[in-house]
Amino acid sequence: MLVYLTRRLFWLVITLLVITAITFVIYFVLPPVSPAVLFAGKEATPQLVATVQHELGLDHPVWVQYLLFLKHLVLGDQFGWPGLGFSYVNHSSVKSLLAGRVVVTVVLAVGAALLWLAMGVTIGVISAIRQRSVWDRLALGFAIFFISAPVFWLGLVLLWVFWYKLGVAAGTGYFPPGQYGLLTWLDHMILPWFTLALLYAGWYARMTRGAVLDTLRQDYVRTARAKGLGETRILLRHVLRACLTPILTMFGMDLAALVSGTVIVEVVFNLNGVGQWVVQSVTSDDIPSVLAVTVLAALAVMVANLIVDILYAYIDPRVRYE
Amino acid sequence: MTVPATMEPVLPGPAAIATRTQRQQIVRALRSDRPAMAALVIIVILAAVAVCAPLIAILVGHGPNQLFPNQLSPDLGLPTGPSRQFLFGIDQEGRDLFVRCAYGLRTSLVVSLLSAAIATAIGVTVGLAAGYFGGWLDTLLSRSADIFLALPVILFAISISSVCSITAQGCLAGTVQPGIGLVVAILALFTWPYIARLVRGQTLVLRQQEFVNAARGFGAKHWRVMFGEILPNLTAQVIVYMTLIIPSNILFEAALSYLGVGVPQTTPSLGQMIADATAGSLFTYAWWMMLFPGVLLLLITFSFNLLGDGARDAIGGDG
Repeated sequence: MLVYLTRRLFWLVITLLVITAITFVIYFVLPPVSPAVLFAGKEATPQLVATVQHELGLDHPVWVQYLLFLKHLVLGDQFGWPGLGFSYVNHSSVKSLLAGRVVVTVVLAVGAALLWLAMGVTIGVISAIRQRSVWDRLALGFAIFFISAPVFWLGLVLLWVFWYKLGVAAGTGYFPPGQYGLLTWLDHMILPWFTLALLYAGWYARMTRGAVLDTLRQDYVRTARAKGLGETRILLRHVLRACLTPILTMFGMDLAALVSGTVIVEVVFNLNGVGQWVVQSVTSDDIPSVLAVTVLAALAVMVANLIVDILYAYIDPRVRYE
Repeated sequence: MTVPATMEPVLPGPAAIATRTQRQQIVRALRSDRPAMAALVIIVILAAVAVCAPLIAILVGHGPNQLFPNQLSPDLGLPTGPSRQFLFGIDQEGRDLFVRCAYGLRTSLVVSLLSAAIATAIGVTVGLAAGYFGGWLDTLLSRSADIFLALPVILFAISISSVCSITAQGCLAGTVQPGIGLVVAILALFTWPYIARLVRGQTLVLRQQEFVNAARGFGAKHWRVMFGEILPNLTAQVIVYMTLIIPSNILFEAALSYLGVGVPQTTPSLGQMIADATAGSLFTYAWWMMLFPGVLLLLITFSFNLLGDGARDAIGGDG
């Protein structure tokens, strides 16, 4: 286990290095104008650009800047740890801008993840035990339908139906529970959660169905039936437990994709999370902000993946002995 | 030559079954899959609409970017809904949504097909090389694919797209121009690892087979064994996977255009049309601006997914 962990951590570091390097290339090598020009604003004199260039350390070669960025990330900068630099647009530290938004994004992602796991697994199990029934066909249709739906459009349609036409859900925006009360907060989060969850629930329904069908054919299920155990008990104790591994694997792989979904849902529902902010930062060429979010998102995905893999070993003893 | 249905034996003997090639079996299985066939018909119709978009524009008499400001409601200047003259209504600037949707489909299909083709070409080459040669090359290629799969794709996509669109000459001294080509390149860049992983896994199995040894024994070159002996065994799987990558690329292009970093403003795109509907919550009034582009997007991706699913079942694949 220790060897395995070390190897994983090593790869995590390498991947992070590559990701930051790619982001650096995107922002410091690709663009036709220097980032200093963007920072100095529209009516900058050459002197101002030169000053800015020096202040931001942009007069160093790109690789020196890259090493400086890494140094700040690991050791911290004038704004504390982790050093993420400061925004070109707000002229304040990226860390302070990020802090409040991370909560919104995490709330959205975690809520949606719980919801889609619950929906996906339930639908998958029902369609497996009622194989080839009307329910099964409906469930598969549902799965492909939501896999195919553009998430931003789905969000708009849900808003149109439940907020504008029926008036049963609240509109857009994020309302922190501490300030507006739990109910208002919940009211505003339900549609975003469902939008994001529906996007993934289909995959999980299909996968769970397949896994349950496979497991139902196993000898130990037949043994359990022969012993006279009830179907519910067999399903919960014997079948679902075996299906946890593939579901978890898929969950780990989906975390990277979840970043995309979160960005779009935040934009559609005007939630002031990291995703919405990064889109604004990109359009205003706020390089340090985008860089920080990209690195943090990659780190979050990889750490979550690592946790999934460790959980894996606990859930499925077969993994441990390999 | 086709045999009339009545001349087919009522019970096909073993010989008839044995002479059916693998390809015929797959086509047969796919043909009996009604949802997949319906999906194929829809795809063909939508593709025809996309190809004929300029013709539609001529027939209707409205260009995709032509403005009809006198069609906006006179008091508030709001878009008006579907009518005999404007089947899908008009948007906030007074453009014909029907014609724009046809052009938008064109953009979706061009971008997704091109990017899927490029991603497949890269993925197949990388996957074959990694699986066939193994060793350090495999480690290098597989690890790069892993890194690509762990990337927060959308962040990179919007970064590249936005950076290369700061000025009209693009980036890397003009080699990368803003526009459809850039979106295609970004999509291809982030989807090849899926194909590479599939091909590598299958190649690892196939290279142990006797026909590969035989080909090598006859003195065939490595590239010949890879592309001439191993690849033909993977064609079906690669095509299925490509069919499933196309809808996800359609959605990705739409999402990028929705966020304003996809195809340029002058190119009609379904994602961009939905973004127009969102601006100032216009969709609560002008439902047609949201409905038609969205339904088309859904219809085309749904059809590709159904077809891809059917094809996967037909080749007996799992997962």
